[in-house]
Amino acid sequence: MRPWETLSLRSKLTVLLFIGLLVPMGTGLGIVAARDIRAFREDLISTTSLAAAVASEYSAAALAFQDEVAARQTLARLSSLPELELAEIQDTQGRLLASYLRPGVSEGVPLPVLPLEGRWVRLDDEHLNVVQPVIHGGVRYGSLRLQTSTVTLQARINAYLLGILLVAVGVAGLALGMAFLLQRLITRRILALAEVARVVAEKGDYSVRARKVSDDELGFLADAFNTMLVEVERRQREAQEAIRVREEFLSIASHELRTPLTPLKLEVQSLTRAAARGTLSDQGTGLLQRDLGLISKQLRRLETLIYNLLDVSRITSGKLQLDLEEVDLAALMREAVQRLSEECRAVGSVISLDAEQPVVGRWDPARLDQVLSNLLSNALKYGAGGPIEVAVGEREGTAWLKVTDHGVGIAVEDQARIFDRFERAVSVRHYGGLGLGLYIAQSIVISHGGHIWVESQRGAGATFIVELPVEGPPWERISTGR
Amino acid sequence: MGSQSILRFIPVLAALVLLPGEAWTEAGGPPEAEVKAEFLERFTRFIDWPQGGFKNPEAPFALCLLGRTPLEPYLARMARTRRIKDRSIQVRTLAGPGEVEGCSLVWISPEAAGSLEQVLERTAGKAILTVGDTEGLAARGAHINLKREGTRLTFDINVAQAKRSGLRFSSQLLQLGNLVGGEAPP
Repeated sequence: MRPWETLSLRSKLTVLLFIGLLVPMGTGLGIVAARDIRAFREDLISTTSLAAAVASEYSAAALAFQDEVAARQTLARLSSLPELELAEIQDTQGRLLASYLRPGVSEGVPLPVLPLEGRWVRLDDEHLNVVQPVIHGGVRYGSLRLQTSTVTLQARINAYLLGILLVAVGVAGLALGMAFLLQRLITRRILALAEVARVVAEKGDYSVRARKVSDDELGFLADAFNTMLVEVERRQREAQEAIRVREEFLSIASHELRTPLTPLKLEVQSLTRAAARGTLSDQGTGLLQRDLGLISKQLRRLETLIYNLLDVSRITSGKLQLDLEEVDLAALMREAVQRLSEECRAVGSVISLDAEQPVVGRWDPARLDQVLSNLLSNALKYGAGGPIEVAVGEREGTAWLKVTDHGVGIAVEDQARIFDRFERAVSVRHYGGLGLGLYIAQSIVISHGGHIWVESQRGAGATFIVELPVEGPPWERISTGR
Repeated sequence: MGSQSILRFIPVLAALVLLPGEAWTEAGGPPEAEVKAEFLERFTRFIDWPQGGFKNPEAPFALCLLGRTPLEPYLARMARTRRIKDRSIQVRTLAGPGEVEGCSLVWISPEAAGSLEQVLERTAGKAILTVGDTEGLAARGAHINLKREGTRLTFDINVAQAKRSGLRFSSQLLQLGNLVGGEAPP
């Protein structure tokens, strides 16, 4: 099997076609030849035998009266028999009464001792011999022997053999030609595919495409190949994009992490210097408190950044755990607004809270607080100092909250993107932050079985809406049997 | 050709062999009378007698001799050892043409050739074969006349007479003999 497997596709096709064509044609021709040769041979035998039988009828009287002349006349009539080489009339004792020898024929082939009864026929390579007993009225007078040449028979056999050889040669040529055409039809297209695969493998160029020329299996192969290339290209692009986003994030993260460090370092340095000079107590309690307040503010900022990063890693690894308990969303919102009152004053925004009724549900209060803080921080950050409206309510088992600002707004095409990791609708230059806030908020809301979305237009402010099932996340309800 | 080897066999095969007369005389072969007797017997092999030609199935084949003839002893010997048409052979010497009744074959010797007309008169319409060895006998009405052509012993056949007599001559015999009597064989 090894040599066969090492053959090229074209050679295999040629061999298969050759066999496939030669076997039926050769068999057919062989059968025809065998039948024809047999028929010709039988024809020769029967013609010669008939001539012998007829001549023997006319030889009886000649033998009976030992009439040489009449016997010779009988034999002379046989000379018209084609292929006749020799004719002899013998009496029962084997004595020759008359003989005919075609000019150019030397002598008859020696025959074995013949049985007395019946006609005797022998066909060898070059001669046919028929010995016909001469019988009249039940009396045997002798025998008539005819010898004919089988050269024409041999010639016919040779012609057939030559024909078979020619057919084999013709079939070989035909097989080569058909294999060439089939190869053009099949292997050329496979080779084209292979070429595309080679370009992809060697150059890593996924933009090349296999050319589809037909709707058959090869066309299907080309389609499948192209689909694979598209998929590979898309994944490669995504991977490159992910790397780019991560690198950008790292640069932003390092910048963001450094930002609180500088004032922190300055405060600590000035306090250290004051301590060294021994003037620390001279600064007064108010100033010292102010400095320490600044330090702790920067530390909180750092803490928030680090927690956010930890949250992202938890979310992406699927390890965000919820500690569910009865929570009043309105109270949580009030606390969050309270906590940001200082920042509000700093940017000049006014937060109006509409949360008259308590909205109680089964949630993780710490995580929900993160969501509220993020939304409020964003509203302050992008609200351009405008008023901020916050509302909390409940409708048919679903708690909802809205945070509306009147700032730069978000273009419609960016609205889906802002919930992704490391994304923001505006440039990093103008607004700091890691771009993680909305991603974390969305992840928390979704893990509670809720939705978050934004309604906004560029320049017309934005409203972030959150909906949460008061019963808590549905899958938690099932797992706790509630 | 190999006449020496052929001649060696002649005494043994005398019953079958009919070679040209010169060869016989040179080699001391069978006399011409014996050959002619053999010819008579051979003629009967290639001539069929009609069913009614014999009185009964057991009736012998009557070989009648008209006039003195050297064939007589050979025919007599033949009558003892052989059969013609599966019948025993009876050799009969006739005193005259009037006795041909009951004969199957009449041999007309040269000395009786003059009485051919009387014989024909008696045998007309009957299945009696008439054979002789006198020049022109067949042309005069006998069925067969033996004659010598060079070294060969041949015979004339009167076809018209053969047809009239009801005897059926084999085509082989007709082919072998010289046809006389102005009528082509059927």
